[in-house]
Amino acid sequence: MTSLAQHIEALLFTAGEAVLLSEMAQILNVQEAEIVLALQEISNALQGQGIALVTTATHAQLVTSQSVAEFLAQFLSQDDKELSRAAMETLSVIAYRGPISRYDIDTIRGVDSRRMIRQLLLRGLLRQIRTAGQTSLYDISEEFLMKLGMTNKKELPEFASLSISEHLNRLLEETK
Amino acid sequence: MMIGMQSVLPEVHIEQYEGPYDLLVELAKKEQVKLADISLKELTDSFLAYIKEYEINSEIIGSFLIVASTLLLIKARQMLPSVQSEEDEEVLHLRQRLAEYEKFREVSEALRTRWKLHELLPAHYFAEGEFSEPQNDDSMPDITSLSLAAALHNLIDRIPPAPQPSAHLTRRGRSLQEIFALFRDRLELANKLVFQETVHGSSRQDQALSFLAILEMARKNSVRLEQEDAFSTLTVHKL
Repeated sequence: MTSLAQHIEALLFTAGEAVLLSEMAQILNVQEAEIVLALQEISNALQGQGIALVTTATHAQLVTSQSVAEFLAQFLSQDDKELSRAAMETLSVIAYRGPISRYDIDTIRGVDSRRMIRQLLLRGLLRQIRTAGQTSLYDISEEFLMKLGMTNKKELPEFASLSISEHLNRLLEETK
Repeated sequence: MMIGMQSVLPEVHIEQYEGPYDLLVELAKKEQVKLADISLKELTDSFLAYIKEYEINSEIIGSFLIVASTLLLIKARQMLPSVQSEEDEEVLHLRQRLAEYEKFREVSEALRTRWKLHELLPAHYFAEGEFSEPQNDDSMPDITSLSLAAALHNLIDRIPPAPQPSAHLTRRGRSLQEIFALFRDRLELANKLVFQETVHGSSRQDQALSFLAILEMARKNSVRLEQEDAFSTLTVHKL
């Protein structure tokens, strides 16, 4: 492992929670692109271990791996609230198409999603990304991936076809 | 086939925040038709019936109305074949969007079954909420029976005095039992009575209760009620 990867791994271990890629770049005095590469290296090195790396577009976090999930599940309490169908629908749209504006989320779902988005933000399943303009963009958080037992959104079923759909791009354009 | 669909409202459970596309997909499932290859027209009636029947949150009702208007447009064309042209953009859009929406809906159902099934956990997950050590190192004071007694007295002195009872005068209404008895007694004497006269002068609450009482008596077939039209004289006949 490169020393940069080792440093990042140590930072993530001691932080114990999600860390911003931009923050790591600043601390380690490197470009964010280098951080992304080093994270890939860590993720590869952790293959087959009890620990894994979750990454989103903005954050990274060390977590327990999928291979031990069943073992750990026996210690988890089951009283947590389930997600409603509407909540999961909204999250799916954002997971596959994020970062995405509320307008586009509404267009795909055919309904006003403001309330839903607010709730999901409160539950920490979404992240709001403020842009230079008036609109905010939304993307899923590492917490969302962790609940699904995934370390990257590329593991989502049919990710490739749904995230890059020319047809859908055109539809979204037409409604603007 | 169409007749049956118009009259029967399908039992579709729609959560508060789901939208018109979701409803259309559910309706199509119910009617066992594919949204892609059958005219949306066939679902118009059930769709309209649904939005009439259920109270839809005001924040999202607009989205339902937009879809309803497109569905009506499709239907109007079918009824007036003379003006029927190829599907215009609006209809085509709805169809295409539904197709896209269905894909997301499908994966979201798949994800829902995976939710928290094989959860990944953060560091210190099981440490959260555990007993935490006291923050400061102050040693415990010496405790004697005297200091305990003093502390207890101190606490007792701090108990606020019991609130003084205050008087509330409320007019006690009659109980439903009393009102039943009243009507029964009066009907023993006279075989019929005029409701308005009987309750004249009593409180609004008693009047309301009296009305409930005679309805109940009518239900049990101990009286028969007669009223020509709304708000006119209501006569109670003993049976």
